[in-house]
Amino acid sequence: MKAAPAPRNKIDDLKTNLKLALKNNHYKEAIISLKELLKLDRRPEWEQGLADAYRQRALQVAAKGMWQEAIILWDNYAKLDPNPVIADAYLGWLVQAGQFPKLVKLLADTNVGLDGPIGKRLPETLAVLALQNEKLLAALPLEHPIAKHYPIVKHAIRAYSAGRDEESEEALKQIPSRSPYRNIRTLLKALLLMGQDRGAGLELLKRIEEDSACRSFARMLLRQAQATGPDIATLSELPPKQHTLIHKINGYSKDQLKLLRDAKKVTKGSSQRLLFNTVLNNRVLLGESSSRRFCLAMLVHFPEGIDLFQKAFGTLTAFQRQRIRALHEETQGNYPQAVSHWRNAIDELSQLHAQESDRLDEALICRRIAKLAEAHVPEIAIDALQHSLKFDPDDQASYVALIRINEKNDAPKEAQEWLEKGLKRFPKDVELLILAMNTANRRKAFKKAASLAKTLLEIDPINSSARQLLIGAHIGHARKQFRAGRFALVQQELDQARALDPHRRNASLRILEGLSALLQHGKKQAAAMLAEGWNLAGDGLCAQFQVNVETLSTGQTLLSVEGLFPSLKKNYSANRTELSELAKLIGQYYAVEKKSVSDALKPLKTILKKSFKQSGLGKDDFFNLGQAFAGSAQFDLLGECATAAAQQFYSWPAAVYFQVYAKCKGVATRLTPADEDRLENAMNYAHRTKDHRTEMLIESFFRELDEAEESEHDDDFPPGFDGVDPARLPAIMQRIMEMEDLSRTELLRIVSKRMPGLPVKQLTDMELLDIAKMLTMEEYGIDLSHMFGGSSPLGPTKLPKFR
Amino acid sequence: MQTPFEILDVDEDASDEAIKKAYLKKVKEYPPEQGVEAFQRIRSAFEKIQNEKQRRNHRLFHHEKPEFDLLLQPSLRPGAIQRPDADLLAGALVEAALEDMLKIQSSS
Repeated sequence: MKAAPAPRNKIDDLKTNLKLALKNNHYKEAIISLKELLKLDRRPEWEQGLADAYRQRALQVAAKGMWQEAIILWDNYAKLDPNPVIADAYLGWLVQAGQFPKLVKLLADTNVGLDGPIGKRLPETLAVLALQNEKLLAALPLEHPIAKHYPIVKHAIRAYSAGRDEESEEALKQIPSRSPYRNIRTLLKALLLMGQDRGAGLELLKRIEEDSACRSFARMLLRQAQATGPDIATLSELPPKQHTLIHKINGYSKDQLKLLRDAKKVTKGSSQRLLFNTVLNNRVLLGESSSRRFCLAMLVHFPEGIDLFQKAFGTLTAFQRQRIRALHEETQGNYPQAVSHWRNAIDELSQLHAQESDRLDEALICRRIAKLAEAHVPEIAIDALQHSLKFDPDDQASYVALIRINEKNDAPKEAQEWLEKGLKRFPKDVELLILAMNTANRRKAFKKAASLAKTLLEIDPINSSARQLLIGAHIGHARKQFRAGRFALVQQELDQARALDPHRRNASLRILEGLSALLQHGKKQAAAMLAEGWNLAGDGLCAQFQVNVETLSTGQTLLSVEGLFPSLKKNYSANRTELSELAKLIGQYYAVEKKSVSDALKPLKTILKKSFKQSGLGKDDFFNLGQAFAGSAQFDLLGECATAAAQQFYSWPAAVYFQVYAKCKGVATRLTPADEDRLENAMNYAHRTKDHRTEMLIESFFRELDEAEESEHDDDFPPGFDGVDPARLPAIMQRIMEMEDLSRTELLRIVSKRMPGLPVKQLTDMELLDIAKMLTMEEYGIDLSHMFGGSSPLGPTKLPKFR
Repeated sequence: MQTPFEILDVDEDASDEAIKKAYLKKVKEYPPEQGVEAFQRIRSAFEKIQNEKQRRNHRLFHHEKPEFDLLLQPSLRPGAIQRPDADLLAGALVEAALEDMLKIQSSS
């Protein structure tokens, strides 16, 4: 048999339990442990602990609305604590539990502080409760203001309810302004006033004191008794007595009360059908036309209601039914179905309006279809937009959309056609002119781009992209004149560029002005301009690069300008910003000055190689530099850059790609099997890490390889090139490319000369260019007849139908 | 949700001119410096219906779910006040006072 545990051990166990209970806020368990401990030893700290545990437990049960239990626990605490406090919350529990004798006692005790939010409004709360509680009145001494003024207030309320307004008003006058009923007095006055003037009554309600026990009631009246109608969203949430009171005060009829009952069932989460039926069933009271409009709008979200709608409001047109279905499918994200219903809707409209000139609705629906289809099936979008222009030809946005979608859809010719059509219709439209200017620039048709930029600046003189483009065009021409040694024309071009850059912000321009001065007037005159150009170009790596390119582009050697600039020292290290700026500059210059870019970079190689390792470049910086070097065929620099990136970012797919690309010098057929494996692994890694840009680059490089392998099995030249000397092909292609720079007048001259019968003025710029190119190709002996079923497209009676 | 016509307080067949006039009037009533939200609501309504093409677009394609409360409101305009009996009035006052006290208790 085991011996009973020693008291010492029991105390330790209980203390452990107590500690645990307190730690977890388990005050019920703490109370049990403390009681047991006190049985063993009445230590003062355990007595205080028990008092605190009672207090905490009281707050816990009160939070659950267990007012009686909370009061008992608080009373236990008060008995044990030598200096108990009467908590504000305790007063609230007594009110909720209806323990009025205790409350009255506390109210009379001057030692009890009533300065908490509940205590402050306690006298007024008791005054309100007294209106319905005999026990409370009985607990109060007769001379207490609540008891004393009670009969007057009760009389005033009864008189108001019975419609004896004067009697009620007289009674209210007897209530003193410091009475606990003072806010009830204001409230009753407001209700009396509302009978004559609802607005004035509601205004009076606003005067009820902020911390009054009647404030909540007044606010509820203000919200629900408005002349325009109640606050429906919160009306249904009111407790029953206040709900009924509002119905009375708002004077609702039986029908209105039924409508309110029905409306109460329609909550935010209820079904569309319930809402639809509620409106249909109450449509007389809600108003036929409003209900019809509401239900019609509902049908988009509840198309099952179409039959019910037609029974109630009459037949919908076939067009309306299709429109509803289409919008419904749109809301569900079912775009193909939506497009199909919109097409049906157009058919219905076309039958109705075949003879009418106003076909705007059809055009708008076509544009809607285009919007829906654009992301999924661009061909449908293009078709729909073209169709829309038949109904509404003056819609500039449709032209822009057609250009944009065709460009995105890899159909530049079609995009160009729409651009020309758009410009023909809206020759002064800024958006179209900008598009045309950028397209011409991309296609390296610089003359055309400059001419468009001029037009654009006439319409929009502050258009900065047109201004920059035009400056670029003049600079480009100046470089050509430089090389040809025509210095007067150089100056002319530079002057024109200067007029467009009055604030002298363009570094290239300033450098070229310096170079022009150098050649014409000597070093002295040139030095200041060149120094200014150097500073504008950023006084560092980029400045050196720009000076190099510009010097070389004018046909001079770098030696000729040595000493005129504070050129970079060999130990110079470029920072991250310079390198990222250089990547941009390489791209810009390579588009116009390929050879100069390559030669300009040569003297910078040592600095660059060192800078790749030292400037703390991030992945994006390396990527941009890699793109710039790959795009400008700088394979040596690309390899160095990629190696630095690979050292910094281990197994980063982009670094692997650039390393391999540099090794193969950008030619996919030079890939070794080992390189292919490396690239494939890098591509998979890029895919897994969602590095989409690298994944796309590698994919495109592999595609090149596939295409090259496929073409190995084809003839060396496409049909028609059989008789052409392969050595002449690059020159021919260069000539064809250069034709894109020709103006319309020049193109017209070429075509008219060779095809005098052709109505050239009716042709678009694009068509003229195509014909001129074909004529030139024919001149070189290229036979194009295979593209047109055996006969030349340029026969005297044939107009170009080669698209 | 109110329709753009309701926001600008114009008929559905109002002309461009009438719509612009109504818009300018509303902007005077609710200038942006007094409240950006109200102004933006008015501006957005105007943009949706300022010309025939926009209005047709709106009519053909708007599909906002209609708001039941807005439909209900005009039908629940108060009639002549009916006097509640004394017990109901006192009961509602007590109900509101106790509810209010509960709110104070839970917030403290």
